[in-house]
Amino acid sequence: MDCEKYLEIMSAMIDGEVSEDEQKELMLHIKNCKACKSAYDAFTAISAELSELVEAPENLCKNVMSEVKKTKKRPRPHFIRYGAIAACFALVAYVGMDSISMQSDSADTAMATAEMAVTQRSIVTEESGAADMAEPKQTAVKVEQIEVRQDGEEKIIVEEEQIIELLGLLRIQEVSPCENYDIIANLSVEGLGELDIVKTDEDVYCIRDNKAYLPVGTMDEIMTAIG
Amino acid sequence: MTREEETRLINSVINGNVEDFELLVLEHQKLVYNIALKMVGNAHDAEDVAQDAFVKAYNSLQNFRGDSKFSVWIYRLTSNVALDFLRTKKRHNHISFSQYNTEDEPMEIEVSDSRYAPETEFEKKELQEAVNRGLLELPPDHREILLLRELSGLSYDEIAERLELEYGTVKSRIFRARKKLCNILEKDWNFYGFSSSKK
Repeated sequence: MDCEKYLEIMSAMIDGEVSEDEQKELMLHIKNCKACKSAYDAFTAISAELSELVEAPENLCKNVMSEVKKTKKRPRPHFIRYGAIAACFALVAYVGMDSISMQSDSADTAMATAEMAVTQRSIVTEESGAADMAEPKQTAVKVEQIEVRQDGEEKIIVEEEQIIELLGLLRIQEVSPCENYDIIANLSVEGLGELDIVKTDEDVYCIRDNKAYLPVGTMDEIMTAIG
Repeated sequence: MTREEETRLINSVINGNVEDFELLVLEHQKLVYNIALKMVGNAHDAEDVAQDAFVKAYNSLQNFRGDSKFSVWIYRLTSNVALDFLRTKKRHNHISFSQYNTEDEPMEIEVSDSRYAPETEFEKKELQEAVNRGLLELPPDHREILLLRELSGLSYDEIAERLELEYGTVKSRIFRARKKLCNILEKDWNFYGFSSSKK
C-alpha cells in the first residue's frame, strides 16, 4: 500500500471510521514512515483546531426570537383552508406573460433584464379567514437571476429566455390544499423571494410562505425550463 | 435534549407556540454559530448568518420531516446560508480575522507526543489563525463537508445522507479537504513538512 492510501485511512481514523485492523496497520506504517508521521501530526493538530468551539454571541438567541416573532406564524400547507381563492403576492400570484417586456440595462451588460408586471393582491390572513381582495396593483420587478437548489446541487439561471419561460410556467392558477409532498427544487428569485416546487401523488405545486399554489406549467415543463 | 423532546418542541412550534423555538435555538446556537464563523471567517458576519439560518429554519420548520436529526438539518441549512452569503458578498478573498480569537479561553489541544504541540500562546494563536485562513482557501464544498464533520461530529453515514452523497465520496472528500488544508498551511508556513508525504 502506498503512502497516499495510508493518508486516506489516516483521515478516516481521525473520524473514527476505520476498522481495528486498518488502524493497527496504519500505526505500524507511521512508525516506519517519517513523512506519514508528519502528515499524521498535521491532520490531528488541524482536527483539534477545527473542532475548537467558541461561545455563541450573547444576544444571538434574543435577536433570533425577536425576528421570528415579527413573522406571522402561518399554518402548515395541509391546513390551508382558503379554498380556491387566489390571494398572494408577487411571483406566485401572477406573472403575466403578456406583460413581460425585455430590456437590457446597457449595451455592455451581458445579463439582460426581464421586467415583469406583477399583479399584487392583498394577502388573506389567517385571522380573517376570508378573501379580502383589493384592487390589483402593478409592481415592476426586475429579475436578473433565479437560484435553483435541486438534489443537493445549486445553480443560477441568468439566461433571459429561460427566466421568462420558467416564471411563465410558475404563474398561479388557483390556491389548493397540499399535503404529503416531496420538494423537487427550491427557487430563489431575485427581487421576488423564494418558493419550493413540490410534487404530490397527484400534481405539482409551488409553496411559498406555507401556502400551496398550482402553477400553470406541468412538472415536465418546469423541470425542462430549469434545465 | 432527547430526540423525543426535540420532536415535541418542533411540533409545538409548528402549531403556533413560537416561544418553544427559543429552546431549539439555545440547544443548537453554539454549533450553528461556529459553523457560520468558520464558513465566513469573521464574527460579525457569522452572527448575521447564524441568525438568518435560525429564522429560515423557523420559517421552513414544516419542511423538516423528522427522518433525520434536527441538528443535521439545521447544520446543513446553516452552511447553505453561509454559502449564499459568500456567493453574494464575494468575500472569499478578503476576510479579516481581526475579531476571531479566543484569547479569553486559551486553546488546549490534547495531543500525544507524536503530535505538533504549540509551545507558546503566540504559536497557538498563529496555528489557529493559519488553520482558519487556510480553511477559507478551500473550495466551499470541501470546507462545508469538513466542518460538518469536525464541528458537528456527524458520522460519514449521516453526512452522506444529508448531502445525498455516497459514503465513499464523503470519505474521500473529507480526506482531500484535509490534505488541501495541509498543503495550504505548508505553503504559508512551511511548517508541517507535509510535502515529503505528497505523491
